[in-house]
Amino acid sequence: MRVLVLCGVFLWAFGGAQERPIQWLQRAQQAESSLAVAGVRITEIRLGRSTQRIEERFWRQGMRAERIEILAPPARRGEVLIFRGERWVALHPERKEASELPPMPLQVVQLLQKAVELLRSGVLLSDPPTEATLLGRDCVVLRLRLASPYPPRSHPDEKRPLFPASVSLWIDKETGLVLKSDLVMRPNTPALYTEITRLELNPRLTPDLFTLPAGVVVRPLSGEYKTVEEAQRTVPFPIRTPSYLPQGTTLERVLVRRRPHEDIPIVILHYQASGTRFSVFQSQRKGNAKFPPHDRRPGRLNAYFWYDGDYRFGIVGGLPQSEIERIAKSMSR
Amino acid sequence: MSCTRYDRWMWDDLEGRLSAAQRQELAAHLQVCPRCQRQRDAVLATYRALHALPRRRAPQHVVQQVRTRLQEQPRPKAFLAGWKRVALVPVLGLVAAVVWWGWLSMNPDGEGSGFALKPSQSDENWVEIHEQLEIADWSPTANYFIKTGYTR
Repeated sequence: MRVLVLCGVFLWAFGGAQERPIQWLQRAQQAESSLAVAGVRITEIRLGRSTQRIEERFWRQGMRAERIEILAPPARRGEVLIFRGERWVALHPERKEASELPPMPLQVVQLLQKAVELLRSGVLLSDPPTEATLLGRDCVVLRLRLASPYPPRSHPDEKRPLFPASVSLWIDKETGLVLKSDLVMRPNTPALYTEITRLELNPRLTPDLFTLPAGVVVRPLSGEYKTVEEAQRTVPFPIRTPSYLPQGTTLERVLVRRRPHEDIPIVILHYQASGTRFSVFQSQRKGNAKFPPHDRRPGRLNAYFWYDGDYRFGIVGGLPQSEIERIAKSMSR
Repeated sequence: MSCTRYDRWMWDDLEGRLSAAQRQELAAHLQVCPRCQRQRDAVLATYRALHALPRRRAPQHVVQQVRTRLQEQPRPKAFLAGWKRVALVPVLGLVAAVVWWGWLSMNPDGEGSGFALKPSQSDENWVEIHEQLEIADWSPTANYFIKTGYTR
């Protein structure tokens, strides 16, 4: 009988420990979706040795509305992002114009939702929560990681969620707000770091914070398209598409990037397939280069670059190298 | 690294003439160099002030006066006039051929054929763009910066 009671206590305690990260995540989800907050935060995009640091003021009314004002870098200071009515717009006050932006996630809400789902299904694991202090507030620190951090190499059809390899969250114990987060896409590679450096709870949020000033013209953001046909209208050369794609591949978006003082853009077909993403790059230049095709494996990404006539191509992503080269071959004319 | 180079880059950055790598290098330097941070603020203030100035067309009589003065200026003596200039053509052609031959010998795979970027640099840029796109989905600000980074 005593053994049974001990076993029961052990199972209860073990089960409770497993549940707690989920409970914290749910609480954070609730807080981020409903609370009114304002403050200053820093976002860092870390790619290899380079880091881009963005400082911004923000005002958020749960999931209903958000305003972000860029403070740094200086060249972007004054630009404003406004989320209201399910859409984001970027406002340039000096030019009295705004650009409509493609659908984007609210800060951490989508991440929390996905994390709860994956933790429940066992795809995501959590280290035992620890404690820390941020802005003088007590926080619980959750460290979540994918059970299998790398995309499948040998079985491209194997399912793997589109989620960072590891996520660390500093959740305020009192309110449930996420005060700091660190996302690592693949082990030792790009990361996204966000930290609130000033926090104001229940600020007075007037409707004009989330409203475009009168007279501002809103135009669609160029450079991002749903289909190749839409993008083709803005590109001076025929966009080539692969005739082979792994099963289950979907085209997420087509990006047209223009570098300053260059007439010919780079076209990026961004695909999602079997728990990973890959990008097909193409551009056209004058002259006819003779570089041999070559592959390159930056960390856990695979890549293949080649020329075909006056086209330059590249494929970068988490697919197996053999699949990337098969896609590359299907693009030749 | 000398700050002089970054002084020039600050203006190029505002005019959108820096590559992604140069922009990142400049941003990294600005984070650690207070002198350049001050310089950057001054450059930014000057840039904005210049752009805020109203643009006015010069009166027609002033334009005409300037054109007349320019025409009145004595022309400098032409360098190598007449047959000497003609004789210079084959010499310059020979020099160009030697330079081209030297360039090819250093770049056996034809790097000089009109491409602005070395393949490795272009590869790196494309890998970096893919990595940025992977990150972009998780933050609106990062998303906005990544998608507009090439247009500013």
